[in-house]
Amino acid sequence: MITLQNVTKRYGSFVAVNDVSLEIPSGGIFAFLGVNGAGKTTTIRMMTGILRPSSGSIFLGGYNLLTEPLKAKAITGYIPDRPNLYPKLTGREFLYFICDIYRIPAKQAERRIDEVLEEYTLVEWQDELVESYSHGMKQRLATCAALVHDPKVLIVDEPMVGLDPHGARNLKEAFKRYARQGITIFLSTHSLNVAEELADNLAIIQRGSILTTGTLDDIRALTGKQDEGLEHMFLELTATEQAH
Amino acid sequence: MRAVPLLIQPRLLTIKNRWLSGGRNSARECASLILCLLLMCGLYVSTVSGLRDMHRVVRDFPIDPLLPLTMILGTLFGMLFLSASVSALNSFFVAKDLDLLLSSPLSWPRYLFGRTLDVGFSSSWMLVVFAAPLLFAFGSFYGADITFFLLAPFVCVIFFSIAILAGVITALLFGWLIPPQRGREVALVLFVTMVVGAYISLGSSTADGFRPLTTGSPQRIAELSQWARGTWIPTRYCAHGLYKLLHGSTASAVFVTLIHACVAAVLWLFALALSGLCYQRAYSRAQSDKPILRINSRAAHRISKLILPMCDQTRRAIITKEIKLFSRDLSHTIQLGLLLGICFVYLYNFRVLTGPEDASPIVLRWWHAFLMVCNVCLSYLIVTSICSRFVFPSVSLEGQAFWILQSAPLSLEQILRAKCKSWFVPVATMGAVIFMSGAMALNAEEPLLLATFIAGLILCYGLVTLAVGLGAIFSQFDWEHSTQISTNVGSFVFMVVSIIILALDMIPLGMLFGAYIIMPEIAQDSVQVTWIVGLSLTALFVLNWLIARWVLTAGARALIPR
Repeated sequence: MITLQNVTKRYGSFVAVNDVSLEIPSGGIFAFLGVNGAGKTTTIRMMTGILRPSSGSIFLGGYNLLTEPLKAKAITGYIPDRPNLYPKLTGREFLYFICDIYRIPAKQAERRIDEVLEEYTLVEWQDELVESYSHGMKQRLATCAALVHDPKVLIVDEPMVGLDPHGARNLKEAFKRYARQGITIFLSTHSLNVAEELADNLAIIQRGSILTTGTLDDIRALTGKQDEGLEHMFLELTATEQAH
Repeated sequence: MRAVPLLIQPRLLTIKNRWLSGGRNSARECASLILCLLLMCGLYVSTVSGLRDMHRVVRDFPIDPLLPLTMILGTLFGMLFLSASVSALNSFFVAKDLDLLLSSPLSWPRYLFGRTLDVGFSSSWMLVVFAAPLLFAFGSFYGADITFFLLAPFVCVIFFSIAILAGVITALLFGWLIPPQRGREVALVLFVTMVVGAYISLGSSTADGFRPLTTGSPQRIAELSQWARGTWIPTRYCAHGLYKLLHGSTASAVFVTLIHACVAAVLWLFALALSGLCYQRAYSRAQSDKPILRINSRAAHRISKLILPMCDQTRRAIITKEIKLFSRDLSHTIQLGLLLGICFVYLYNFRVLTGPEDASPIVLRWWHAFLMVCNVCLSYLIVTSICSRFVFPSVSLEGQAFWILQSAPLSLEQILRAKCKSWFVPVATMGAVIFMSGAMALNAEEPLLLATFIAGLILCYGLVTLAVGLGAIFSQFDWEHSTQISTNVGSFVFMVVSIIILALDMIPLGMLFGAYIIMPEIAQDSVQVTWIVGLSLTALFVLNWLIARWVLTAGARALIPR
């Protein structure tokens, strides 16, 4: 469902993402792990069409993001790490805007907006301006916007930032449910417990390059620590790399 | 005064980093600087030549430099006051860095001084570009010595600081006295009051003896500018100081500057007292108050579908969003009110410019053609100022939320075209009223009225696309407050480019008005009239369409993620 082929992003002489290749099958949750500044957000911004790769190709649902960007974007939902939304629109107006941009028919849009607002407990706030929302509410509204057009691919950058424990728990349950429904979730995080709890497959990125990829068991086999948790293995892998 | 450079530092460092960042940014800044210098040279040369022409034409009625200096300084003072008021409103109540600054251990006078400098910096750099060459042109035309060139800038800086401080005080009073949730209604009432007041005052001055302007009476020009001779006008003092400097006397300039410095100091103390009294309460209220009017999102969505039935879904979404964001932003409402006030004064002034009374028929026709061209030029400049305030910033106003459009299944061209469409209707409506009112005030015949109307629409189309395209090329998504966008280098480039395009547009328009008015035999033949009007307007449209196409493509290319 998601394919990255030798994706590289350079800013002048600085290489932010270096020759990243990933193959992510349909359905399931893929966790993308890395320390701060490893290149997670840059990779995600390239996958959503916000940045253009310096070289390499990205395919979403079989569509090449560079040659067929509109088709690729139409099946993708994106939840950014910082929910910068239009402050002078109400929550519901913002969702109408998203539905219209994704060309959702009017009746379906009404139904889906009601569903997502209900699911993310924003019904009471739907007619308030976004500028009056708390950070967590904006994050939930951004999640609603990413889901309202029923995407096949969901790209999520640090989803738990700003959410209270209830919100975080609900979001994790929701991600599991979406994965069961066949949505492919690409989850970037440095919360290792979230990745350990949710991910079917994962990749660790360090200084722009993929250190390792596979299931949790694959990584255990790689590090030779069968009984260790992800946190221990992650620290060991990234510390070794940083020492180099 | 350590805090002063501290508060200005972020702005200066941003400029420095933009210059040193290399690549496209540096090239763009260099190009803007070159354009800026060229414009200053152009203004200098045209002012010197204008002064020379004026002296030649009206040598029987010599106009001393005091009068044009007073008029120019008065206009610049008014522009700076308006710009500083809007900028201060944003800087003191809306800017994103306010939480950081207000929570820091910064003394109140330092904060206010730093913020006032910031307002002055952002609202006055364009004024410097326009005022400096004018001032130097006066100096060189009247043969001033080196003292003038050294002291005149200082005199002007002190004088214009009064406008900036007055703008800051206005913004503080506005934020204090008017609850933010009632801001739009109060702005509307103020605007209506201003229009009625202007109408009454201008109407009374007409009744007091405004007579039609005649080509045979140059002294009427001086009569019309009597307001600038009033001793009660503060601008007069500044002009007087500069006038004396032109003639080598520094004492008067020093005295005037001292008076202005005292006025500025008093205003500064007043602003300090006012802000100490009311600022924190006003700021807290601006942050916490919710709008009284509850929005029914479903009803608003249904209304947008009714209003825009012909638009496709995505285009309607962008247009509706633009309208909502615009109408819910108080600073936009205030700016719109001020600009509409300027439009009103312009239209009213045109009413007094009726035809000459004592000229030959050929002079009369030339005069008429000249006024028609003037009407188009001035209307175009008014629409340009409207576009530079509202349309040019529309791409940058997406701000940090631009990712929503970038990650949506929309091409950048679609986004820019939708923005053009959302702005074309209001700008063209306003433009058509301005163009047509001027033409009607000049008693233009029906074919000319129709041609002016169509030409106005074409010019508005060209201006809106130019504003959106250049707004994309000079997009700036990381602003602290929205008025920064309309006072940045890109906005200046937009104004300069629009004036260049106006010069190009004048070729077909000059043909139209010239042929129709100056050669009356053509006006008698409906076939020839149709040909002239048709050809001129087609040429005008093709010219504007080509520019629009180029600028939108360039704008979309500039927005391509890198």
